[in-house]
Formats: sequence, C-alpha cells, structure tokens
Amino acid sequence: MANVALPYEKKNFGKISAFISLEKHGIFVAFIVMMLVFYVLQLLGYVNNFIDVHNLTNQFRNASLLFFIVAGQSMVLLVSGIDLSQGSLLSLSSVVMAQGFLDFGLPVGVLLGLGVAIMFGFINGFLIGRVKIQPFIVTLSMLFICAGVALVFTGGRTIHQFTSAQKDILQTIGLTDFFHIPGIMFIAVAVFVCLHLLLTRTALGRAIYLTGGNEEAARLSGIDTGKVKLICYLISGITVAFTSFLYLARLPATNGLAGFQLEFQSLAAAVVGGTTFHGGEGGLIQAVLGTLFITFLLNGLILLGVGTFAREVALGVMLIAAVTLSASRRRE
Amino acid sequence: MSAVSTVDSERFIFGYPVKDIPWERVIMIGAFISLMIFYSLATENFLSVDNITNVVRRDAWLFFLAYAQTIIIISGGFDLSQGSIMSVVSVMAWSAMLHFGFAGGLVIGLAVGTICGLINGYLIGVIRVYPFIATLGMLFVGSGVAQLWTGGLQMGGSREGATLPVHVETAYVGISKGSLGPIPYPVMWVLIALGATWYLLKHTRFGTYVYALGGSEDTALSAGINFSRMKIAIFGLSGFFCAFAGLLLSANVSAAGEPRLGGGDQLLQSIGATIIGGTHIFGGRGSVLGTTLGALLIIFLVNGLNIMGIDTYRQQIIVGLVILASIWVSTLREQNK
Repeated sequence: MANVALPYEKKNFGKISAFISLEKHGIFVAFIVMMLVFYVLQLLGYVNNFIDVHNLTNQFRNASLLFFIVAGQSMVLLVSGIDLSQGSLLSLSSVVMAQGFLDFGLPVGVLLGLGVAIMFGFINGFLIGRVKIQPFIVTLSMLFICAGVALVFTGGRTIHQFTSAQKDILQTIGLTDFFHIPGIMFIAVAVFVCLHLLLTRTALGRAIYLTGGNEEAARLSGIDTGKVKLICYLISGITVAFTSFLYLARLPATNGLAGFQLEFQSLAAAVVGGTTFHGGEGGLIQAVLGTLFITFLLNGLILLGVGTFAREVALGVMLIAAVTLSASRRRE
Repeated sequence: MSAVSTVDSERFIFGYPVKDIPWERVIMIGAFISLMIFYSLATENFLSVDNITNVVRRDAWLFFLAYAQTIIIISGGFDLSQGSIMSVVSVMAWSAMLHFGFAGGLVIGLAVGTICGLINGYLIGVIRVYPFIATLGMLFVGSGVAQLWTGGLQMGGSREGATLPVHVETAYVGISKGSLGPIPYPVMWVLIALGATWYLLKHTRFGTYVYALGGSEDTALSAGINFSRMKIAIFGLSGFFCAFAGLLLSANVSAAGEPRLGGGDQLLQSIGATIIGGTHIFGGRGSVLGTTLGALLIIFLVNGLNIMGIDTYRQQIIVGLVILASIWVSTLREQNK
C-alpha cells in the first residue's frame, strides 16, 4: 500500500473479486459479519438483548429516522454536492414546529416547521445551483446560521410543555408499532420507493446521475444542471422536514441542539454505503445499507458498554476504513 | 487575476490599470475599516489598547488555523479536523506538562498535533481517501480521544483535583499572556507564522508545488511532483499549526486541558478567514496576507459584537452570513470575468 506508484492505479483484489466484487457487496458483507459478531458476543454473554424483538424494533425505528436524511444526503452527493446544514436545519425546523404546535395547533405547527426546512433547502439549492457557489461553503455557513437561529428562537431552552393530549397525538404518530414493525418504517419504505423510482426510472434521475458524473457533459447535452442541483437540495430539505417532525413525534420535546452533528452521521452512512464523494455514483440502496450499518454498529457498541466518546472514535475509524477500502475507485 | 486585455482594460485610475485592481481586496479592506469605524462610534471601549491587546491575545489561535487552512485549500484540499486536533493537543499537553514540565509538555503537544496531521496526510496522499472524508474521520477520532483521555472533564484550570506546578503553569500561561516590552507574545507568534508561511508559499519549491497541485492536480502530477509526499507535508504542517493554536488557546484559558477546546465554531472561522481573505475555494490561488486580513476581520467583527452585548448564537448567524456574502460577491465577480 505504501508504494502506489501510479497515482490513480486501480487496485486489484485478486481472485476474490471473481466471486464477490468488494466494491459492490462490501458493505453488505460487512453488515452481515458485524451482525454475526454481535450475535456471537450476545451468545457469549458480553452483549445483552442485541438480537431481541424490542431492540430490533427500536433500532429499525432509529434507522428509519436516520434513513430520511441519509436519503437526502445521497441525493445531494449524487450531484457532487454536500449538505452540512441538515443537522442544524433539523433543530430549527423541529423547534419551530413544536412552538407552532403549542401556539396554533398541530396542523399549523407542522406546516410552519416543514415550511422552514423546505425554505432553507431551497435557499441552499438556489445559492448552489443558480448562484453557483461552492456547496461546502454554503451549507457550512448555513449550518451555523440555522443553529444560531434555532438557539435564539428557543433561548437555549427545551420545548416540552405539551399537554398530555398533545403528547398522545404526537406519540401515536411517532411510536405506534404494527406487529413489532415501527410505523415510521412504512413511511421510510415509501420514501425509499419514491426516491428510488425517481432516480432509476425518470428523466430527472438520469439527469441527476449525469450531472454528478460529468457536469460539463450534462450541460452540453441540454440539461439545466443548476435546476437539477436545486431540486436535489430541495429534496434534502424536504427529508429534513420529515425527519424533524418524526423526531418531535417520537420524543415530544425538542431543543436547539436536537440535530447536533446529525449531518456527519448522515454523511458517514451515505459514504459507508457506497455513494461516492465525487458524484454520479451510488443511490438509495446504498443509503439503506449504510444507514443500517451505522445504526446497528452504534447500537451494538452501546449494548457492549462502549461509552459515547469511544463510539465517536469508532465512528471515525470506521468511516476512514470504509472509504479506504473503496479509495481505489477514486478517479478511475 | 488573468490579464485579459480588451479595450476596456485600458482605462486607468491613479495611473493603475482598472482591470488589475484587486477589487476583492479593496472591498475587504473597505469593509474592515468601516467595521472599525462603526464599532468605535457605537461602543466606548472598542478602540482601546486594552481591548485590542486582549482580542489579539485571545484569538491568536485563529491565525494559525487559517494559515494552515490556506495552504491546504490552495493545494486543493480541506481540513475539517483542525478543531479536534486542538482539543487533543490541549489535553495531552496538559498531562505531559504534569509529568515532564513545561518544555516537555510543549514538545509532546506539538508532536501529537503533527502526528495527527501526518496521519491525515498519509490517508489522503498515500491511500488517496478524499480530504473531506479523511479529515472528517479525524474530527471524530480526535474529539473522541480528547474526551476519552479526560473522561469529558476539564483538566486543571478551574476544576478541583490535580493542578500543574506553579512555575509550569506560569510559563504555560506566559506564551499567551506574556509580553516582550509593549508587544504581546501572541503578536510575535502570529508574525513569525505569517512570515514563515509567506516565505514558504512564495519563495520555496514547496510553495510552488502547493500552488501547482491546486491549480491542476493532473498537470502537477505529470510534471513529476510527488503527490504523496506533498500531501503528507502539507497536512503535517497543518497539524503542527493546529497544535500551536491549541496550546495558545489552552494557555489563554488559564492553562487548562480542555477536551472540547476546538469543538465550537473554530472550523467555520478558520475556513471563513481563508475564504474572506480571497483564497480560491477550488485551490490554486490565494495568499496568507489576504488570510491575515480575513482573520482580523472575523476576530474584530466578533469582538465588536461581544462588546455590544450580542450573544454567541446571534454572532454565529452574523458570521455565517458574512462568510456567505463574501463568497457570493467573489463568485459573482468570477462569473463576470
């Protein structure tokens, strides 16, 4: 590894690649292996309740929540962009939603919250797609702007003063299970199907891949790449809007730090799943795999008794490791 | 500044061709001056020697992060892990000082930061992970390790428990709060870093390579520049600068080891100073002098807001908007060329 003579030489994985392509199935294999490892640890008594109906239900609920923003992040990554504002936009949207619910009732609150998230998604998209500013800077600035607005809005306090009737409504939406399958998962599956069909079966989907793969070529073949990018950021905003509502519904309380650093988790999940950073490669299936992998990894580590800080280290190491494995794909 | 000569470019202002005037720089200096005038009219204490000395002492770290970020962005990369490296260095240097004294702690702190940077460089240069992902990983690892090291608590400082020996603490605090005659030490550190970075970028082969890599990586590679070695050197240097920034800031907050030292808006400010300073986000262009101006603009902007009693949350919003506005202006100018 130390002497890669040619800068972008493609690595040869030898005979294994004849059976499974590490690039395509790597994360799936890794996921299975990880689950088996945790299961064995459970059998040995180091981990409690990992493979357990209640834990699995909860984890699928967490995964569904994370999946929305991972899907949004994937759309943005596909057009070689990035959305760093997801986490703080989620905070902002959820506090607006909660306050709106308290003051004007559920429908108005939800609409306000969704509106805020979608508006910021649009602003991101406009600045990146139309004004053509670098995505990284736009969304990084937006991260701090949204977080600031959310914290000013709440004054740093937690919004939780719902009456028990209001709490019931929210938790019915957020926590209802059908035969141990969390209700949120159905929404996640629906979103998955919609976006997957959008990417694979429509002209817009093709335009997204083309814009990410080679923007100049896309532009020359008559695609309005700015518009395509704008739509992708808008979708990211919409997924954030969904997530912020469901977050609020699951735990009827929120504050200005509700989505703190969530954008990094969604990035990690999307990238670990195999959506690449230079755009045009990846998709929604990768997003699902990445989401499941991250969710169960973090859950397994928690059950193993690994503390928050060590989990952070584990997440970082895993991210680098996953990308290192697929680094040979860079600039083929 | 590409010198495209059209008829239009023959106009002159003060004997200076209009096309060659670095308008971004002019706008920025204008903004900086009007900001200073505004604050000195709006507040009583802004334009006092005490205030300015304090700001420079407290925010000297930003210059180091921004210089490192400038070199990295010029070479076509990013460093997200700067804040985390500061945190790791802060806690490890503190622990080292407890056992090996001031000099030992200083050396170990700088070494730890440099090693983090070298790891970034190895991942990016040799394994060819994207700078964004590699340094994002380092961000998690760094802040996780820093918090694991101390269990999430502050070491020394105002906390009960082990404290540094008095002479070590005095020496440590001294690197931020001491003065040479009327000049505070941090000013000297910043000037040294500025001089060194400027010399490195403009007058050495290393600097030429940095610009070449950012201008066109493929061209630079075919011209025989050793990509791996350059990346390792660049990120290693960044790690060293971050380490020094971490030590300076820790020294300023009463010589404590603070595991969340770099967890705030360090990232936004360091990238912001670089971008406002006119460094081109896709690499290949930029200068440390511009970055210095950008950093000055940010620290005095924030300081003025502090004096006016505007809370951190609103400051975040304002700094974010300023950065967005500045890149908006430069992007529009870029397109109009």
